Amino acid sequence: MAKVERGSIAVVTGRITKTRCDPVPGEASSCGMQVETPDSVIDAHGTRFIITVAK
Amino acid sequence: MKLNGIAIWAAFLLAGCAHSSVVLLPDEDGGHGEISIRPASGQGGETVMRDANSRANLTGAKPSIQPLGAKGLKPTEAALLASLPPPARSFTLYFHEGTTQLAADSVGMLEQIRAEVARRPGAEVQVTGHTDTVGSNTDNDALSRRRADEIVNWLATKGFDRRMMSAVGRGERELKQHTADNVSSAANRRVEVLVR
Repeated sequence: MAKVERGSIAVVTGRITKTRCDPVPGEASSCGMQVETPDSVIDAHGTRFIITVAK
Repeated sequence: MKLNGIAIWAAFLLAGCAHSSVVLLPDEDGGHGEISIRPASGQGGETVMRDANSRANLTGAKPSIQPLGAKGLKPTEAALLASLPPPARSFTLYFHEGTTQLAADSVGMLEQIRAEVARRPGAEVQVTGHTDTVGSNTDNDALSRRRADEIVNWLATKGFDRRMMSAVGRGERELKQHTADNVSSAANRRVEVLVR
């Protein structure tokens, strides 16, 4: 899992699987791309995205 | 930062105050996937973004999703996107049977590869050689590597840094056209060049 800290902006791009799978309760999903911010956990599937995390 | 072909680009500090948000962008092929957002605390439900060019505002108890609309991306976001390198480009070149001699219709592609490498500062070139199933595995491993080396050597003669290029041979392990053993196949006698 990648992390984006406060006061940062990041673009995530690449070959991210379009398959979405439901995580086992209490465990991280093994599919797609997962990014953690101080307040949220973001799962991306088959897409590009920009994350901005305020200070 | 690269993770299995996934890259996180150019995270940098924001100068001013900004709201936390996620923007779902279309892929380079125009399609898009979806994004799910969960609170890091583990408490609260999941919010799913399904539309490209939409923004989820992460400020507040539950993310609110809105289309980007006419305002589009914020200047910092647009600047970051503009700074990204172009997407990787791949080329396939074909060879005469049992040799490292390029097929006539692949010779012209060398110049396209040279131009692609030249237009990317600090380009990485990954060259993977393949064979058909004629001959032994050992011979084909060696032949596929020589085919890959041939392309790297040619690029080196054009002034490109060998340290930025890699060559591997996969023999007959990754057939483009599946055949029985000892079958000649022009489609399988190839080198794949990835420029990024």
